[in-house]
Amino acid sequence: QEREFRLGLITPPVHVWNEEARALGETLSEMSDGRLSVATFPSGQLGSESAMLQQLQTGALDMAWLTTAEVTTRVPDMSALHAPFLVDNIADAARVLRSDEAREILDKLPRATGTVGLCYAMTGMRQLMTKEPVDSAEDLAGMRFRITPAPPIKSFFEMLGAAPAPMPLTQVYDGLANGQIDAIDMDHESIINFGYHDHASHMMETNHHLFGMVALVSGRVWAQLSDEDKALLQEASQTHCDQTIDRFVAEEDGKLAALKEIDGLTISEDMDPAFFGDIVTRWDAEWAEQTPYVQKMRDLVASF
Amino acid sequence: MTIAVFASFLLIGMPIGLILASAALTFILTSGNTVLLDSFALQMFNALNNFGLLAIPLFVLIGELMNGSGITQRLIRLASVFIGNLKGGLAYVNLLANMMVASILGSATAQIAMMTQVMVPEMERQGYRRDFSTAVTAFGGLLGPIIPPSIVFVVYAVLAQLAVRDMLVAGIIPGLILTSLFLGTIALLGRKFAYPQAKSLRWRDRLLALRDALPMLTIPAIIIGTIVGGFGSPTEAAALGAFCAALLGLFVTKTLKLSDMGAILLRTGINSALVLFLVAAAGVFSWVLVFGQVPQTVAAWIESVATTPVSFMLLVMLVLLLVGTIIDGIPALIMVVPILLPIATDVYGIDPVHFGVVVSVNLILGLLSPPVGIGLYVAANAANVSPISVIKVSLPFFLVTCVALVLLAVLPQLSLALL
Amino acid sequence: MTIGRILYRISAGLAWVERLMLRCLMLVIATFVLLNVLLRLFGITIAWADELAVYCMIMSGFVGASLMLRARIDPAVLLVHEVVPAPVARGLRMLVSALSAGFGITLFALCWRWFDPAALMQAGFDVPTFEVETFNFIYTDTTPVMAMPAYWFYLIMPWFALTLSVHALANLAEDAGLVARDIDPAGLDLQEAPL
Ligand code: NA
Ligand code: NA
Repeated sequence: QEREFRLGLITPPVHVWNEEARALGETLSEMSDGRLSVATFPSGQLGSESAMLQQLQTGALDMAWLTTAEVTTRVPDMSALHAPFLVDNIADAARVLRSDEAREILDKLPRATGTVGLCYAMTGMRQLMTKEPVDSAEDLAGMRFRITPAPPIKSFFEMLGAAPAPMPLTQVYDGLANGQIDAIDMDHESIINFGYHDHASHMMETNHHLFGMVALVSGRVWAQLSDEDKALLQEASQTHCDQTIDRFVAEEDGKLAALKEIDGLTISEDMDPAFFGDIVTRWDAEWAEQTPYVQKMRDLVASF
Repeated sequence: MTIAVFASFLLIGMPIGLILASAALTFILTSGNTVLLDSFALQMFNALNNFGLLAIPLFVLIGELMNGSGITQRLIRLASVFIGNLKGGLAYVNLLANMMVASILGSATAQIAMMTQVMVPEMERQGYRRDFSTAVTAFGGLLGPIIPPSIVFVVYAVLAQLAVRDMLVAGIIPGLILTSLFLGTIALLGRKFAYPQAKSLRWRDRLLALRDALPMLTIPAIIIGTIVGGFGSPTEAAALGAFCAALLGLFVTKTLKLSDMGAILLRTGINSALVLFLVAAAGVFSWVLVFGQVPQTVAAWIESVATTPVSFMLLVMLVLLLVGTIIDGIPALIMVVPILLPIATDVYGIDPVHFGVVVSVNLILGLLSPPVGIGLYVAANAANVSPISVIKVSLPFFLVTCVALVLLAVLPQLSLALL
Repeated sequence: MTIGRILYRISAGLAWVERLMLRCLMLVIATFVLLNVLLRLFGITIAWADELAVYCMIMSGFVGASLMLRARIDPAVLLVHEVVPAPVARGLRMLVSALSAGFGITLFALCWRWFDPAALMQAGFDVPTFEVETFNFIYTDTTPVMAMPAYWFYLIMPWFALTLSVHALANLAEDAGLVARDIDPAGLDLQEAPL
């Protein structure tokens, strides 16, 4: 029978995720001879990421493309993907997201979140932007950093001595302008789109963690699908997850080049993790207790 | 069916919040999408889970504390000192006060609720009709979400992926145009309503008013200074302002007693809940409509009817006026922008910033469009006056705003000149 | 005691609790937002202050709405009430109260499904078992910053549904003439009598 999947995202219609989510609908429709289709709900029309996760659980929403950060609260293993300085370039980030180790983490999702994870994608690497110049890691102490609320990200900034301040994306620009926050943890795409450099003119190209996306299907909905439809959905989603990753890898250098063109924005390129002292050791020590995947991911990247 | 429930409940006088929530329930049941029922209560809760809304209780609290401390009266008296000799002076003072608050508050509903309680009793005391005073205050409240900073504009900027600053700057000229149009309307209406003439003051009285009010000016100074000076969010500025108002009331005017605090907190809670519950109900209602893809259907219809950018804009404005009557700016934006913006930019080649200004002003005006705009009822309620008489008196203001809106729609320069 | 009297008493008791809640919530909101901005002067940020204030604001919205219904001061279009003869208006008020109570009871039923105490009991209060059987993760939802169990805050929804129903029924009983209506049944002590 015909079925239209409802897919929710937090990103606006022009974002790469949304373009690929719409393309997923077309692919699915072709593969199923028009039997399956996708209706996308962009810009958090259906609520925040945590609200969408709750709607996946009740089955109100069929699918959602959420940040991996959102899932870390319920799946500690997912925190390993946010390990600081796991990879130093976006191409390696793509390899991490396509690895068997990362895929294993998805097995934890049904029990812990009531959802099925189909594949990963990303929205690039995260960088640091500050209002004041940073000459040494000590300068970060006491700075109020806007972060995405997720335990692994929070502990990274706490270990730097900064004061992590979770804040929805909608308030970040004004938060910088009115001094509620001194600095942000952000990806190239968002920096360009929102113009955060107006009020935070110092950027450190740290690539300090990769910012992943996970394509989720409601567990309730998944249970009702035939094996054939499950396979179709899995394959089509994988295709567009991969295309999303490829696009971010291909465009990352161009985005940095565009940021360099901006007057008044100082960029410190290629920051060495050593600048931040023994943060990696400390973070790993704390998180290795919570999940074996921290070590698995480090070993994986060492093998690249 | 949903429309029938909506209309009949409206007619028999159901509370508007409960109408929105009941209509949402009806829509779920009639569309057979009953799986949404399990998220219904949670969605109502989530609709309020927004830091921006926190400004509402705090600004209401400032209003309550300022009234309880006699601060409002002293400030208005000071403002009257400058325009006092003018016929209808306090009506202009009202608009200017609203414009001043406009630079602080982001929600029209909140501003209307707060300013009505502050301004209407004072105007009535000086001999203005209560319905006229309420209408002036309600339309003054329209300036809040247009003159920056505006939460509505920030939300739009995020939805449309625009720099927030661009949206805020784009609001300045439209805000000034509306203010001057309202001032003109008040002047014209003076022929119909015999405005009381404030007594001409002697210089000694003026100095006394200045002396009494000078310490009170620290409140707006703190609020605006906090935001402009880059020290905190509007919400935090409101908290500082409330703290300052409490100190002034307790130690300077000495009309506030600690024992009054319980009553003040209770009134603050009630008056902010008036807005908050509407936001919650509108949130769950728009969530259900989005699931039913109602906005998409409307968009498809628009595309089939409108052939030119101007006809598209005018059609959009009509639709948004209707949407805006029942749904507050932010939930309404969340509902329509993702649908309408791509059509506006891709099909009709409209600038997204310009579109944002028109859409936002339009939705906010919807709040005050007779006969069902919620803002009118919020104001009438807060002023304890019949909504019908407020609607009658506010008609000229409504028409003037419609004219301004058409100007904004056909002249993109008005929004884009300062960028 | 008559049914009208019983409803009146329960409604008055609930309103007393709600007034206390509302005052406390407002005090917490004002205090923590203020504390956070003042402490910033000394470079201290209480990360959870804003979140706590937001949750208090959410709860205050529902508590206040329930009290407003009892006091009949929530915004409504009362055009028809003003033009029809008094007995018809009284009939309309009764209809509105009955429908409001109906909404409250429906919302309470939805909250019952949501919290699902029956299934939780069946699972022997073992949350993981409950989650696997029901796909309901309400009891392990946490707030993003404080990491507090979110269901403590969600409890405001069934509470709101309950108080709304009782207040609506008390209003209905008064309109039906079962019990006399006070000037200020919600105890809000607003300066002017409600419409
Ligand atoms: Na404003
Ligand atoms: Na509106």
